[in-house]
Amino acid sequence: MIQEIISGLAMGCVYALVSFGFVLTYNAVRAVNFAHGELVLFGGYFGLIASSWLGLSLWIALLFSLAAMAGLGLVYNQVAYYPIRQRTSTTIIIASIGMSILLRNSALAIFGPDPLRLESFMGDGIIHIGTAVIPRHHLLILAVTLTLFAGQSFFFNRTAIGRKLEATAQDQEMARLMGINVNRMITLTFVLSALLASVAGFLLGPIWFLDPDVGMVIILKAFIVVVLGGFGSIPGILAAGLFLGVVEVLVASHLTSEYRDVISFLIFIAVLTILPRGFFGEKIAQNG
Amino acid sequence: MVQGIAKHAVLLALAWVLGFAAPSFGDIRVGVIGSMTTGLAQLGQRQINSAVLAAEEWNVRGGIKGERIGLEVEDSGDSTTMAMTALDRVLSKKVCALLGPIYSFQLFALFPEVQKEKIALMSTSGTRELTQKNNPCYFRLYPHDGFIKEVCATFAVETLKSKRPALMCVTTEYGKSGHEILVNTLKKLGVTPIAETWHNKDDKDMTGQLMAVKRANPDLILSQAHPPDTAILLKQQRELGIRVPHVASSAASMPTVHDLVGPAMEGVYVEAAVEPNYDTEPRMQAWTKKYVERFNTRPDSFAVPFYDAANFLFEAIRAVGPDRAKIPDWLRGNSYRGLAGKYAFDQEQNGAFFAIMLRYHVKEGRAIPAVVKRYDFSAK
Repeated sequence: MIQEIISGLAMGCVYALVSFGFVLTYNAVRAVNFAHGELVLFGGYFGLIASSWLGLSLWIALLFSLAAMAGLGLVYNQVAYYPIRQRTSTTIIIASIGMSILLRNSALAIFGPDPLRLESFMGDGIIHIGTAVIPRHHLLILAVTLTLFAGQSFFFNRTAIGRKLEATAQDQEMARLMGINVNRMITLTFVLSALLASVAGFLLGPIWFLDPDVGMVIILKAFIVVVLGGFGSIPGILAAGLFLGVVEVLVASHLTSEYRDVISFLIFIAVLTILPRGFFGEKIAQNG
Repeated sequence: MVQGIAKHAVLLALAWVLGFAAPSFGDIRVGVIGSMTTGLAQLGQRQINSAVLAAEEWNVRGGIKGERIGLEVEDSGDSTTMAMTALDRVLSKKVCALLGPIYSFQLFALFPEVQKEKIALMSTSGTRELTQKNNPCYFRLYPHDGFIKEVCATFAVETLKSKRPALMCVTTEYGKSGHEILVNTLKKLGVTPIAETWHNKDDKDMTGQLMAVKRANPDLILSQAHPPDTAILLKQQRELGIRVPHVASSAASMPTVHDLVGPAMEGVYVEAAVEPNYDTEPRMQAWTKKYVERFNTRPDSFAVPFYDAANFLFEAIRAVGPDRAKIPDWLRGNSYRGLAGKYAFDQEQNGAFFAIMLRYHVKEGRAIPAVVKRYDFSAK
């Protein structure tokens, strides 16, 4: 059982990390960014360019990926959000779907259809805990995700820039009246979201592999996690991510592998029936 | 002028984004439908390359009776809708025959239109049911699962002495077809699978399935899966410390899978029709070299039969002309010696009855296969 739980927690951490970037953007612009999965994919691909194509070390590759993704976040904001920021949420969502298609096909044109593997900082190593065999990479996923989630609390609550971001996410008009440059904060949010996508790409690349369609699988999981956690809630996505990851593994292992996704979705519906706002959600009406 | 440039740039970008195929015009038109985009393109694109290579070779030699072969290539993506749209497109270009996608779910969707149009469709899919649908237009140029899964199960029981195998299959038609044949063959051999698990083709984590297998304590794993999920299965099996032999389906013979799996390919058994990258036959070596030089990628075990299928089809067109009605009749009555082996159709229009069982050894980071057994029932 410990084996399944640790593997499930590792998967759940990845879901939570992807959802984190997704929620940051949602909170800032009140629109779902369907291209976030592709941003995660490109985070991994940039790492691959640096490590496999340029032969750089993984640490340098991570820095390269972070820098490139910060640039991509800026470009994304300038191309797919800023020009249409006054339009409805629907327009912004459709623009994100367009960006998703553009990024996916760009990945296909540049990297080809074959799945590619990004090396892990932990190599292929495994460790034994009792009867369980745990890949070291899973422990890295757990450590990085928990550190980032702990860090975000400090960042958003204790730093000036974090508070400005939080204020912008809560009420753009009020933030503007308080002298906060809202457009700059939203740009920064896109950059932060892209940086998180870079980290998620580095953690996913060694286990899920990178192919142009991975983004779609990622975004589906992230969407479930975000809804389950309570739309917009950061502690909620961590709880929901871990919950989904563990449930998926336990269902496949102990109940049925054939209908794993069906059972997982039934559990998802059952949770939402009991907790309509998700684990930590606010009333939808309050978001309007 | 600026507006004109902008318009062209937008159109070019659209073509790129939507992944349009570039048609190749010639006097004799043959349709090629395969996945050029999406995750399925790793198989599809290599097959399309094979058809292109075959057509180029014929055209260099003067085409078919002086007429150039033009391939009308369309992308079937990863859906039945895209496959059917691709079929409509190639049919609108008046093709005389079709080389189809490898994925059975797409082939099944194409069957009604193909039968209505009475046009020959050749492909290299292994799914057993494809040739049990009484479609007189469909011709299979790959050993089907009824044959090759029997080979796998028999190899597992008789050669590897397995008494407690576990089955791990994908939930597509391919997986279900293979699963049924594996179970039936094992039953005939007096063996019952100790565990059976399923996964979706897009699943990225098989921990649950592998843990269920581990608890059952099997002495061998038999799997039937597509390339990406095969890679995850093999890699996670090693990570979870399940040290039993694995007899995998042909997806595991693909070079791209080896790159993903790394050291976990050690000791893996794989069924395949042919293995072009390590074949010692000079003709195959020359072909593989040519393929790599032309497309800058290594061929896989599916690319060779597709190349043979294209050549077999071009021979048919040479014999009877680009006549949709006559091509199927000629194919039924003739055999063809290709790169991979001899092809001749049985009553169900299955054309390939040869296979090899490979065992991989990882040396200096490369997965190198050795043929441990050859099967050839072409005469049957």
